[in-house]
Amino acid sequence: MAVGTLVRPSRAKSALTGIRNFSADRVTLIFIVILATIFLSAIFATWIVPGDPFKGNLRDRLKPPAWSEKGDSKFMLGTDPQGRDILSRLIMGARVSLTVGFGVVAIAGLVGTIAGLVAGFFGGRVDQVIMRILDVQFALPGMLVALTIAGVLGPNMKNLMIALSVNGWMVFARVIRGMVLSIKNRPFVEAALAVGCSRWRIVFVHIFPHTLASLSTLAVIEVARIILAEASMSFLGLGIQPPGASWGLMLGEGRMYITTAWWLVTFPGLAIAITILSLNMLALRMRSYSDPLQRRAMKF
Amino acid sequence: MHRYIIGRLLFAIVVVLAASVLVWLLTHWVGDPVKLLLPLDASRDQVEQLRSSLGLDQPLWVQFKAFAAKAVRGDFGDSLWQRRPAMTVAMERLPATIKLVGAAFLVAVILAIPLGVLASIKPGSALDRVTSILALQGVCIPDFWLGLLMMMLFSVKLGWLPTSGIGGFNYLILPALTLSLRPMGRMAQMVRSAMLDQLGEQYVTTARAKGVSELKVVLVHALKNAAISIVTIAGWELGRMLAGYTVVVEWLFTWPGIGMLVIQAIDNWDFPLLQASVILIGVTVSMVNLFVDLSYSFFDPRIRGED
Amino acid sequence: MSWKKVLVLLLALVLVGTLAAACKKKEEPKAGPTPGQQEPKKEEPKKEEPKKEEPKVIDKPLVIGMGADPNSLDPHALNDGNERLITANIFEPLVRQLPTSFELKPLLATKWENVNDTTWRFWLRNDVKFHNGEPFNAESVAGTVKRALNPELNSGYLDLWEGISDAKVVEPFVVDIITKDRNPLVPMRMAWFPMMDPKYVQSVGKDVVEKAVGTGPYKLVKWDRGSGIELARNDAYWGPKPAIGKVTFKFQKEDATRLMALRNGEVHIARDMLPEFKDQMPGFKSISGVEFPVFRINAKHPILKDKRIRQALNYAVDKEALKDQLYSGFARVTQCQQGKVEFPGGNPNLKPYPLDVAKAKQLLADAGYKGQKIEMIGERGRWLKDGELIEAVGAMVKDIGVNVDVKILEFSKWLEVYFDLGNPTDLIFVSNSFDLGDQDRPFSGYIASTGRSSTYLDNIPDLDAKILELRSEMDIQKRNAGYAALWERACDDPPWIYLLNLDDIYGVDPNLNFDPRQDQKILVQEITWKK
Repeated sequence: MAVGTLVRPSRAKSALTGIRNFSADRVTLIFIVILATIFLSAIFATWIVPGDPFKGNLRDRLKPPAWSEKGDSKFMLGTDPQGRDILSRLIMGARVSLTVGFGVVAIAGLVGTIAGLVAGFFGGRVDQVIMRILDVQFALPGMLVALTIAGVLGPNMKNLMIALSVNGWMVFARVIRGMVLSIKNRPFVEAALAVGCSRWRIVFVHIFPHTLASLSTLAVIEVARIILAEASMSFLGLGIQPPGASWGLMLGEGRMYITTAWWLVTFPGLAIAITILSLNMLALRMRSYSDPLQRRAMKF
Repeated sequence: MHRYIIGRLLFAIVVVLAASVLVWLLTHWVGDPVKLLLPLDASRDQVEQLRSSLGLDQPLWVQFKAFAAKAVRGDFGDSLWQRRPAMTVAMERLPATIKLVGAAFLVAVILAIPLGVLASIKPGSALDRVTSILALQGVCIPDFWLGLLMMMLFSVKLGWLPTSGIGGFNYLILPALTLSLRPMGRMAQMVRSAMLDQLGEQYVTTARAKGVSELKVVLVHALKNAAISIVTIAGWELGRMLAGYTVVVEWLFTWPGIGMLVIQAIDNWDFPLLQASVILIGVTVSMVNLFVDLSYSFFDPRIRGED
Repeated sequence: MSWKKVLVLLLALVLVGTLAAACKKKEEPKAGPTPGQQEPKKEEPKKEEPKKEEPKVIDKPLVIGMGADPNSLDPHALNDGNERLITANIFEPLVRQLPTSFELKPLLATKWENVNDTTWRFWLRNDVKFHNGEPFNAESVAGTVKRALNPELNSGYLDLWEGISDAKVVEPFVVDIITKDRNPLVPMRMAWFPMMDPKYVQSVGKDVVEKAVGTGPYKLVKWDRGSGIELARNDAYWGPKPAIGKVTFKFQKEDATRLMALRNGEVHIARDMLPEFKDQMPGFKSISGVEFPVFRINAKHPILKDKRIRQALNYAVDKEALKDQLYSGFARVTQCQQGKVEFPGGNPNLKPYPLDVAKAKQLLADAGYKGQKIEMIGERGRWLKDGELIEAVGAMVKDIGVNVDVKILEFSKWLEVYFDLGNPTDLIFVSNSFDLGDQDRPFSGYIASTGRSSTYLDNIPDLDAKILELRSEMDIQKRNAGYAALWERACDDPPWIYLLNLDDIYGVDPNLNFDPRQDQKILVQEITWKK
């Protein structure tokens, strides 16, 4: 319900002008810089980590951040109960978060988009069936289903991605279907039909590109949502397992020590919050630029 | 009207059925709970004996038939871990969850509606910005992290509130606050935009022109008409809290509700209990959804006349 | 449009939270020892002043904070420490272990004796009544034993009662415990056999899981699932009247919650405290426990069958660092055996493998190890700091050049792997507890080739025979000497990576006279208030 209102049909042209205006906005630029930093550190994680993210020395365990009294300049953000450098683990965790976020969105987005295109364009029984499945799945307790899948298959990154993908495709299907419905009666589609283009060709070559602007905005929002979901599941112990590094896992491991080591839970949470905030800000901007209507409505 | 209700009811039943079949298939697909039930040193004979006494050596479809036949009568088998009827165990945990979700929902609604209404009166005002920030925060900050930070501040540092567990009212404060933040932010935002839509309508202009006081315009005319959207979003958020958010918050604060039970059931490989809990949550969420659907007809006479 | 303000405000909010959390560092713990505290390394409890000096009895309610609900209050159903903690106050066995040793003292039985190879005879007290008023007698014992051994109950304690096959009434207050074979451990096994009223159990049926009726000094008042259990003094108790009239067990899963509850007086005894809490607790007591975490090595593995590799793994682990850093000194390095040297059958001459990376590497090279992958399986959340211990040991083993792949599994998955002896994993973490004060379990269970979880070599001809022989050896002296000799072999040709023996840490209200027991029970009748 809520999702349906997020994205409205857009015009390809305004998207172009949007991109030009994009970089002019300084605040947006800040978020882009933050995101780029997170991306680059995730990609080059292995080279830039200051310490070993997976192995520590027990004698360095639970060191507070470098600026504290008992801190050690070797460990900027302190160490965890295994004596591993928190900063290094955060950087490796970025890799996990982004892999899961983009991986799931790629899978769920692909399935959902195809389902949405097919349902919207062909209508009839196909549409009926897809929409019923969608309705039922929307009404299911999604998080619980994901937890059950991850629990049953065994907690690791692959299964986590399966679990989240199973729950992620519906949003794409619903949004794309709505857009196809509004696009398919436009003259250019009718013209293409008249010329004798095959229906599959019309769907993928003529209609699909018109959904791209909104699709990319939705994808960014979904990446943010999935990153949060990954963190929650790893926090519950049903996601990434140690000695792997995931922000959610770090929070989960640190909870035991909240009375003695505040830095264990502070920094990973900050990393999640900043990443998700940046992604959402980016999505908001993308939407306001690709859709002038939305842009006017934005009042911050 | 009747057709509408029956339609929604049927849909709710389909959802619960789908949830049951899905969870049953998942839990029977892989895994073997038997070894969990025996001491570490159990012999292989003991393992086999227990497996056949639980019927786990039967083919999958036979097991499903047996499950379905019993489930129809409300019997979901015994919890492997607690050795009591699984549904009883799950039902015992439901009140705690309802207490938590109810409290969080109340906090969210009580704060979100005034916040959204006030923000809509003066778009762009300071209050409007606060609403936007809350909404954004709800989406961006992991609730369990916020809960952890509050725990460190209010429990560990200041010692005002217990860190976790269940007990009197003071045990409820932190989990309910944590759980309420995300829905509150989103609801405030939705209330705001629903109100903005209404305030732009013709009838509002007319009412204003007729000299109706602004307070009355906002609270009586616009809010009443925005109510349907507000109820929708509130119901949606309530469903989401029950169906997911509460799991993490309950786990964080070790609140012995049904969300925590789900995780315990997974950890203990107790699939009758997992099934019973997920199905029970499914039923509860479906009931909330049904209630929201029905309340449409109350707020929107057009649906009532549809029959 | 003030995007900047939004951003600044948001970040400010986040920072406030962070700083608030950071500030707590300033709060330094009180310096110096607090009354009731005890040095971690010292194991002997302080000599208590005799109780008779205190003329008046203080009857204040006691609250005990523990990790979780018991699964059941049926003391024979599931092997569950949380259940035992509570039912030990409601039910009583025939004999009881002394607080800090494996010696037995009479409880419901006044004396016992080995009549023949398969019979142990127990003489019972004749003044004991169950909470429901029914008398306790030989019929009760026989009924209890028969019920508990019934395969339908599928008791989790079967391994502790191993060999016991039946019980027979001899006289109204004399009962025989029948065993399959010679079984020198029957009296100790009976310490793990709480007595129930068989007729009552029959009458309540399935409800027995929450209707506990025993002979003990406390009666069940109510059980709020997920929250707590309340017990009240049994005024008709046959023994000395306990000082404390009302006791509540509160379930608080998080260690930090129990700590905070202890600090603000909400609970008076907090179980399973972390070593890190040492300076934050108002008082604490620790006792060297009976848990022995180890890594089981699959000695049938083509590489690991070479004992030099298994020795190298033992040389790789810095047990002192684990003890001092991970457990803040609340542990002892085991002396190359599964148990303490002072336990019956322990071998005081053995020394732990020291940390010696060079030697370990040499041994690996001698054995021709070429970097083949070795799998290491662990779990998390079952035992004190288990996940951290596994990760740390994994890292140490990596340091000597073993290509080890650490996998942390869910407990249920871990169990599957642990018991899959057909296809055993290379290294797997497990914590074995030494409950019976006897060495048979480690040898029969984990070393003999027929052992239920043994992946040890099966080509040592005399080993199985020797284990079998000691198992039914009734002469305790001979038995213990035999085990001590076996440990020497199991140290040189190790079935495990030997690690530590952990302490149990209890947070304790300084106004309480409480000493932890080796068997991890909290017997409220042994606890009194100072003021």
